[in-house]
Amino acid sequence: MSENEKGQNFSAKTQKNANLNARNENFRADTEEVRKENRQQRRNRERAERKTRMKMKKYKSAVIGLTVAVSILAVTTLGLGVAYGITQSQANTYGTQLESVYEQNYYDLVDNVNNADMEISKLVNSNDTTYQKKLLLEIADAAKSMQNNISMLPLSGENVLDSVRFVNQLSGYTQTLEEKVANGGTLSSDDISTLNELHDMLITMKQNLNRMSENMRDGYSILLSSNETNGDFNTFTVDFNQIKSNDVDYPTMIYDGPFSDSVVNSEIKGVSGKVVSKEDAVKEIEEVFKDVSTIKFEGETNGKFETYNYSLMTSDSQDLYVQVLKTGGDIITVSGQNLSDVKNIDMENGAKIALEFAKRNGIEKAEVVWQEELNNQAYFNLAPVIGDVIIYPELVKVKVDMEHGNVIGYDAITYFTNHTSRNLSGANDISVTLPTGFTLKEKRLVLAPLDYNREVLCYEYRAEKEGITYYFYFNAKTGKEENILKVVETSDSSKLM
Amino acid sequence: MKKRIFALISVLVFIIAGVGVTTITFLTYPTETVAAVSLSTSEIRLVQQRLKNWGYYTGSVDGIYGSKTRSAVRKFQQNNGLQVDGIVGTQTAAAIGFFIKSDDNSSSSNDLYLLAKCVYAEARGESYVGQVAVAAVILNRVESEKFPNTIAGVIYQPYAFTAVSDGQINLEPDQTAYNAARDALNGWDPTYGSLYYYNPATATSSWIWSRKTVVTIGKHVFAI
Repeated sequence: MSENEKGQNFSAKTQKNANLNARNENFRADTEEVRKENRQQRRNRERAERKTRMKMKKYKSAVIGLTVAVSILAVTTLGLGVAYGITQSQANTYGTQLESVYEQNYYDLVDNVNNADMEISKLVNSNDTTYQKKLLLEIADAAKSMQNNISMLPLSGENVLDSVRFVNQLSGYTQTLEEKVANGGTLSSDDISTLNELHDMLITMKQNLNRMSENMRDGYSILLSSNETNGDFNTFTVDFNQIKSNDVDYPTMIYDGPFSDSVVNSEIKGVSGKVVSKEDAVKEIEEVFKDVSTIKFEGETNGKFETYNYSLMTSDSQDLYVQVLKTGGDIITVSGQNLSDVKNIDMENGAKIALEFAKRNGIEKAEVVWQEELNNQAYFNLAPVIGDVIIYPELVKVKVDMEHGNVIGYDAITYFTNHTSRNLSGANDISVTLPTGFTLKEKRLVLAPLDYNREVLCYEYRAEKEGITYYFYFNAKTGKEENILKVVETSDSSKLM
Repeated sequence: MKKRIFALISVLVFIIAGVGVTTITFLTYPTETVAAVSLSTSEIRLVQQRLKNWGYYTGSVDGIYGSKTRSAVRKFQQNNGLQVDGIVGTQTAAAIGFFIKSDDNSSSSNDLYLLAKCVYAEARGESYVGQVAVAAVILNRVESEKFPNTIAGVIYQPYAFTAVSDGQINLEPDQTAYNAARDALNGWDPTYGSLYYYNPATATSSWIWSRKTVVTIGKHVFAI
């Protein structure tokens, strides 16, 4: 091989090497790219996988969320359903119980009407006073029970008032007749004709109740019909009102006794004098309450008494409500209270304040006949004294605030209802012996209001037995024992029974 | 993951239980019921005063058996080995140092309590005289031939008082309601025998408007 050839060979080799190198170089570059690509792909793949994973995850949470939401909804619905079911079944139980109470009262009413009807029919045909007394008491009892039965039924409206009034008066009337017979009287022809009217009424009631009972047997529910409205009232009220036919009025009972019209419409005896103006009324208030800071007119009262009404504030910042009679211009009521715990006045001074207040209101001489103190407010009941006689029918009540010594309550309604001039003479020197075991503490002459609209001059004996106080009342003219009162200590005051 | 689901389910169970119980409670007991405490106001004051002296009670001595008094009584019962119920019965009363009088003669107190409850439920927003007037109407009804003859009979007569129908009658009366009830029981009647009262802004019965108005006190028209 020539030098040239060698040289050529060499250069060729070099060329080849260079080529190889270049190829190697290329290859390396290519590999680098591939690697890069691979990395990229891997990254992409990873990213895609991550994305998918994320998607899956999101999907999963969505599914869980949805499941949870659906579960909440389902369970809440179930809970509400169960709650509703429980409530409904409880409501049904209560409903059944209430219906039973209503029906019991209804059937009792029917029995009581039947009994009263039977006893009245016996009564009008009886001449024996002992038997009459027994029957009259039984009718009174039956009527009282009827009143309880009617009041327990779901009735509304004024017709119910009429029915209750009828049965109340039936009991009051028969009770009064019983007292009359017990005191040696006899049933007059007027009494018999009223009893006959009452008998007719009871028969009507009985017949109509029988019709209603038939409906009850056919499944009539008092509760359900009381929940339906029919015009102004509920259906039960409308149905029940049929017990008295619409065109028939309840018979009138004329008597002096419990629930009688004469007691309800008792006459006002103590209001007299000239009609005063609002200005006069204000003057009267300022005179009686010496320490008024503001007075405000609050309208008028137009009832049994006609008054001007004022709210006022005393200088001790106590709110009072005062009613002044239009006729005569006297204060008839004061209403107020004291909620403080502070007490500066004792009962003796309280009584003085009460008596002084009554005096400023025209009651010159009076005596404390009863007192009690509660929560720093003291109540004093004062009875006017005329001559030496205590006039119980004209009781005045005064409430004293034991913190400031102010009058915060005054009630002269009884006084103005009954105040009148009376003949109080005629007391005899009666001699009575108290039952054994009683020690006499005091004896005095009083005018006692006994039962209905009856005032009797009596000797009041205050006596004690085993530490308990009793009051005995003996008729001052005849010596007859009229009443006994026992002082009962209750948990927060003493009461006369 | 599992933990989280478990936590979620627990929370859920709680919520559902809560919803369920509230719903049942709401549906079953629509009104607040307060346990009656048959102590007189002066007895309640005594309890409050003693418990205050001994550091159990921090409120005012007001004769009102409220939540503060109740919790003070509970604390006292706990420390003295008594049954912890927040109610002053004979044993707790004896431990506090007074005797609850026997029930033999307490008939008039029940009347006062019932009357005060009705006054509070019907007229607690009214002035003092407005509350006396409501108590007087209840007593006028007892006297009237047209209504039942006992205080309970009048108060619980169907449809007579809205406060009885809607359960407000079970709220515990305050001292003002007691004072007003006591005045009425002692004879106060600024309505002169009224048998009805109504709020002209809300009264729906056409019949009630036909009654003769005696006096208007606060929001109430009193009528016969």
